[in-house]
Amino acid sequence: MLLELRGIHKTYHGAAGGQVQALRDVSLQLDAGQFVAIRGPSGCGKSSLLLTAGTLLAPDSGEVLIQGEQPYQMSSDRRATFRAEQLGFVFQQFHLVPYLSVLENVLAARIALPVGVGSTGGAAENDDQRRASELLEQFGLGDRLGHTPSQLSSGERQRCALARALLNRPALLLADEPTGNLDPENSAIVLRALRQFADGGGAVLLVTHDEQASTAADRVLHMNSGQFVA
Amino acid sequence: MKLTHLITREIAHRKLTFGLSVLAIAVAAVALVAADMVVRADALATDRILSAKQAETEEVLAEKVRVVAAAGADLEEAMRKHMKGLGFNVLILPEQQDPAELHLSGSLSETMPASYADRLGDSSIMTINHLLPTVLKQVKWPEQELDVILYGTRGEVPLMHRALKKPVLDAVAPGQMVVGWSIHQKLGLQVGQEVEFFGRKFTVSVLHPERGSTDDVTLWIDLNQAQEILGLQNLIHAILALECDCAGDRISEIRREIAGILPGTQVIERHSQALARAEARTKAKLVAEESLAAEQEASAATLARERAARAELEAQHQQVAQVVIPLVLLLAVAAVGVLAFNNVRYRREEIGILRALGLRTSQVLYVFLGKAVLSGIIGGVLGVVIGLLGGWAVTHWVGDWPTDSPLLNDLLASPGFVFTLLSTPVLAVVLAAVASWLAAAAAAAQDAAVVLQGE
Ligand SMILES: Nc1ncnc2c1ncn2[C@@H]1O[C@H](COP(=O)(O)OP(=O)(O)OP(=O)(O)O)[C@@H](O)[C@H]1O
Ligand SMILES: [Mg+2]
Repeated sequence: MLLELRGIHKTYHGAAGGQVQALRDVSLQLDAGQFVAIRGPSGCGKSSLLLTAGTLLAPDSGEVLIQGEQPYQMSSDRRATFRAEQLGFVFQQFHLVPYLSVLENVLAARIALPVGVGSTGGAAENDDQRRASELLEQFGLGDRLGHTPSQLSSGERQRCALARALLNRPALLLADEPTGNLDPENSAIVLRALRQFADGGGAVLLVTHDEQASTAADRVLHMNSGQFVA
Repeated sequence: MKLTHLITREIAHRKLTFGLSVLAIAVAAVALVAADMVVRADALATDRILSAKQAETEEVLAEKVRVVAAAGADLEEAMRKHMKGLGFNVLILPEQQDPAELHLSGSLSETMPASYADRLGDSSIMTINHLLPTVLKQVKWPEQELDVILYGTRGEVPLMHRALKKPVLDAVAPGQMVVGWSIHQKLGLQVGQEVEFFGRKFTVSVLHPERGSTDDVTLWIDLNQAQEILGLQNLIHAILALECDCAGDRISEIRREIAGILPGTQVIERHSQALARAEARTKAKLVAEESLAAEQEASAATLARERAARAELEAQHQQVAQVVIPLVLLLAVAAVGVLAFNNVRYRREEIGILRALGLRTSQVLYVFLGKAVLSGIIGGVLGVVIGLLGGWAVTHWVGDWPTDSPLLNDLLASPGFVFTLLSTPVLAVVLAAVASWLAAAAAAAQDAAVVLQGE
C-alpha cells in the first residue's frame, strides 16, 4: 500500500467563529501503479484531501500512511524531507518561482533533498541538470530552458511544473486540478503524463471537478461535503 | 541548485526593493560613520587648536620670562657693582654744616681745609677707596643771569698705602667745563664752545644727559678755579668718598675711622646714582614680573575660553549625534522591516511551493535572513565608504579643520575610528537581520496549505 488515509477529519475554524467541516471520515487506499481521480463540486474538500495526503495539512483526526510511514508523526523537518523524497505536486496555478528560469524551476525540486540522496557534488549536479533537461525536452520545452515562467503560456507553465514534480522520481504524484487552466490540447498532454507516471509504477491522486479529466484514471471517486459518495 | 541561488536570483529579480533596503542600511551606516568621524574630528581639532594656542602662549611667556630674567640679571649685576665695586658713597662735611642745605639747594656753605683730603689720603684708612675734595655752591652765572650749582673737583687724592685705582670720576681739566642737562638745554651750548663764567673763559668739554637730579643744574670745573671764583682758596666744602668697602652696615665703622683722622667733620651717606639705577632696575624687574604674571593669567584665560568653546562645540555635535543616530537607526530598521514584510507578502506563493518541494522551516528562514545579511553587508560597506568620503568632504571643504594634514590620515591612525569602520558593516548586518527577523520568521511560519489550496 502506497497511500492510505484512515478516517480523516478536518474542520476549518473561520475567523468569524464559523466552522467548515472540509473532510468527514475520509478513507482511501492507493497502490503503486494506480491512478485515482477524485471528483466533486467546488468546496467539497478536494484540495483539503490532497494536501492532507501531501503531508501539508494535518488532519484533526484519522491516520495518513505513505509507504507505511506516518508523516504527521514525524518532526516537521523530517516530514519536509520525506515530502521532497516521496511526493510530487502539480497545481492548477502552476506555482512556478517567478525569478527562476524554466530549468531552475525544475531543479528547485532538488534544493530540499538532503546530501547523499543523489543530489550532491558536481557530477550529481550535472546528472540533475541532464535529467531536468530531458524532462523538459519530453514536455516540449527543450528550447525554453532559460526562459522565465512569465514568458511561457499556461500550458507550457504546467508542463514545466510537471517536470519539476517528476524530477525526484516521487512515489506519489498529487495533482490538484492540473488541467483547470489549460486548453484541451495541453490538458491531454498533462493527463497523458500522469497516466504514464502511474504506468511506470508511481501512484497518482488527481482531484478535479472536471469529468473529462477523470477519464484517464483507473478509478474515480466522488466527493461531496467532505465525504465520498457513491 | 543551492539555497543561495534562490537568494541571489530573487535579489536580481527585485532589484528595487533590495536596493531600497541597502539604501536604508547604508544611510544608517553613513550616520554612524559620519557621527563618529565628526566627534573624533572634534577631539582632534580641539587637540590641535589647544596645543597650537598653548605653544603660542608658551612662546610669548618664554619671551616674557627671558625679559624678566634679563631684568633680574641687570639688577643683580647692578647690585653686585653697587655692593662690591661702587659700594656706596659717603660725604665728609664740616661738623657745623647742616646737611639740609645740601638736600634743599644742592649747595654747601661751611668749609674745611683742603688739606683734609690729603690727610685722609695719607692715613691708613681701609674703608674707603676714592677721595674727591670738592667745593659745591649755588651761584648766579653772572654772564647768563642763570642760577647754577658750581661743582669744583680736582680728581682723586691718591690713597698712599694702596696702588692707585682706576679713577671713578674724572677730574675736569683747568679751563674746561662739564655742563648739566638743564643748563646746556637753556643756553643751547655745544661741546667745544667757549663760554665766559665769572669773567673767565671756559671751553665746554662734556654735556651731560638728563639725570633728573641736581646734576642737571650743575657746572663742573677745576677745583682750583672754583675755589678762586668762590674766594675759597685752600678750602673745600666736602670730601666725597666713593666705593666704600662697606657692604652692609659698616657706615658706623667708617664714621668712627674718619672721626679719628679728621676731627670736626661729619659723615653722611650719599644716595648714589648706582643705587638709583638699581632701584630703577628693581622697578623694571617688578614691572616685567607683573607683566609676566598678567600675561600668564591672560593666556591661561584665553586657553580656558578656547577649551570651553571647543567643549561646547563638541557637546553640541555629540547632542546632535545622540539624537540623529538613534533616529536614523530606528528609521532604517523600520524601513528594512517594512520592505522585508512586503517582500514576504509578495512571495507567499513561492514560499508555499518551496514548502511543498520539501524546504524545511530553517531553510525558508535562511533564504530571507540570507538576503537581509547580504543587504546588511552591501549597505554597511557602502555606508562606510560614503560616510568616509562625506565626512572627509565636510571636514575638508566646509569644516574648520585647523591643519594641512588631511583629517582622514589622522582618523585612520586612530584605532577607535578603524574599529568603527570595521564594526559598522557588522552592525549593519545585525541591524538588517534584526529588522528582517520578524518578516523572515513570518515567512518560515507560513502555512503552505493556505496558499496552495488555490485561493
Ligand atoms: N483555510 C481555510 N479556512 C477556512 N475555511 C477553508 C479554508 N480552506 C478551505 N476552506 C473551506 O473548506 C471547504 C473545502 O475547501 P477545499 O479547498 O478543500 O474545496 P475544493 O473542493 O478544493 O474546492 P475548489 O473545487 O473550489 O477548489 C470549503 O468550503 C472552503 O471554503
Ligand atoms: Mg480546490
